[in-house]
Amino acid sequence: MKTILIPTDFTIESLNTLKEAIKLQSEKVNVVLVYFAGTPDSITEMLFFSKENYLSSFQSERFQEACQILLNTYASKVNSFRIELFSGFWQRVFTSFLEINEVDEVFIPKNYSMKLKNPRSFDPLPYFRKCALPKRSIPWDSNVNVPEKDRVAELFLQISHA
Amino acid sequence: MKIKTKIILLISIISLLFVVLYSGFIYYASANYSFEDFYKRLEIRAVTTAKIQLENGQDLNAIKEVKQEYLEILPEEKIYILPVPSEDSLQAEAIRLNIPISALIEIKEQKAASFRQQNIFYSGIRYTAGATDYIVIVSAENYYYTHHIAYLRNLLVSLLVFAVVLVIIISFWFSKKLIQPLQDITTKMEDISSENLQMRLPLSRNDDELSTLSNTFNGMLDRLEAAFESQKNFVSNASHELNTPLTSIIGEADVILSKSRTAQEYREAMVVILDAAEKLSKKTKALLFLAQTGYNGKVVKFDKVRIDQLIWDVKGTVDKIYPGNKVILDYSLLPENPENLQMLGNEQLLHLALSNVIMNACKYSNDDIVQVSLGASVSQIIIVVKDRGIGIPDTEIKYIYDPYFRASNTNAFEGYGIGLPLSRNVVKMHRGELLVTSVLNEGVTVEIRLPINN
Repeated sequence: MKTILIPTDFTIESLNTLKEAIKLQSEKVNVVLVYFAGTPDSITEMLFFSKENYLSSFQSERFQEACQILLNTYASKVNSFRIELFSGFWQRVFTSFLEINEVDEVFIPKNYSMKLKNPRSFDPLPYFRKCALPKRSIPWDSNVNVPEKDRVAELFLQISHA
Repeated sequence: MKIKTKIILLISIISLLFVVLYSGFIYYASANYSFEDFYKRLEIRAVTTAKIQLENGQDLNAIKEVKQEYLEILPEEKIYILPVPSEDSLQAEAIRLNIPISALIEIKEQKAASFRQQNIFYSGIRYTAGATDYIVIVSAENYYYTHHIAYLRNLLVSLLVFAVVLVIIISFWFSKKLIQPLQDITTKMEDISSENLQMRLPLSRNDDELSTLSNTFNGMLDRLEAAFESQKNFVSNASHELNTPLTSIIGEADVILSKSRTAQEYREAMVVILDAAEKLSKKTKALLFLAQTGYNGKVVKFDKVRIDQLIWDVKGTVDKIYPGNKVILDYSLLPENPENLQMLGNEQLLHLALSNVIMNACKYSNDDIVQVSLGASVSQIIIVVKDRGIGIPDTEIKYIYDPYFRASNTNAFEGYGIGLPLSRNVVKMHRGELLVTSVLNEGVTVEIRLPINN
């Protein structure tokens, strides 16, 4: 079964990549979202570090809800869904990350730039562009001035050209 | 009687009953104990005196010493020693010693007796020394009884008075505290009338019976408000939606009747009138359908509702009232599992709520494109209605749920500000949420979330 990797910044707009990527699949896939952020470096934070808690601390309820809507819509196409953390700063580490997660294809937004709200997070797109795996870019019109910005409704209303 | 008085009385009576019982028991037990104790002391004195007076032996001195050393003289202590009188002289002896004759007989027969005359306590024994029997009687004033018991009695009575005051104060405070939330609810309820049905009772944080009561009242108000508003909504819709076709019928008829026309002209006019009348009939039917709020029976019935089906029905209604609308249904994010689109609700009310939202979108965008999307997360069904209309000014968006409020840029549109509050109420009745976001002159996005039935 194919595994696809999609970068996310935990905004609802970024889920467009996911939406279009699943739409393009013809058979069941494993979906991995990846968030690029360094791990904490203070001793107490490292002591009690948990990847799940760390990742969910960045996710809003709306984001999780939007994910659920997509998974409900494409229930028969998605075999598994998980969110991973990538915190290595080198391209080499990213390559082995792809190997470990057995990724077959990556999807990236074409003209959307990631919103790096968390000071530890960094832009995943350069790493994705450099990787050797097959990649597809998903274009859509990014419009900041819409009433439904950052609402779950945004997921419904984004029009894509893919 | 008021509940407050009832509580005060009940608490006071119960607590006072306890206090009286306790003090009575203490008083009785102490008095009893002081009697017993004193009789024993008198008896010891009687025995020692009899030994000293009536017997002679070596250990007498020791007893005498003990008596002097340890047995203090009681107040008014008197000792009588007499040989056991015969049956005949009993009466005379009793009078001489100023004691009841029954006591003498008891001592003679039972060998010991104790009795009292007011504060003087008597204890007598029958003592055999050698061949003769004697009666030894010791009497003394019971100082403990006369003084200590009186003190105890005063103490208990004053305590009782104190307790009465305290109990009344406490029960008063207690009943006030118990009744206070009820009174608050009553005052708040008095403020709510048909004019301000949007008011609600405040909910306390703790989950007690009173907040359940407030909740129930609020639920009732929700339903009442929705019922009231749906009627007003009908009137408001009818007044301007029915007016347009009526005006065109009247105008057409007026023009055609102003002078004589050819048969062809009459026919054309009749076609126009028929068309308008048909529209009118459709609109009236649709509006009447919306006016049935599901309250026809006395209770709101909640059944399983399929939301995707409901949206199709709503579109049908909207098509009748706004024939030129451009509503696009977008089911691209429809969940694969149809159970995720089912919820418990009243179809009529939801129909009304949704059609209001969609008709508003059509109205304020002058029949521009309105996109209606549907999707479902794990626990909620989400309906998104987006228009490209005039939008709502940022400063006014917080007032849009107030009944009769109309934004400052809506002067060109007829309306009474009833539709949206009504829709929101219906959604709230279904434990859902209605969120409105807007950018002025860009459009409005309404997000309706309803809980999935599972």
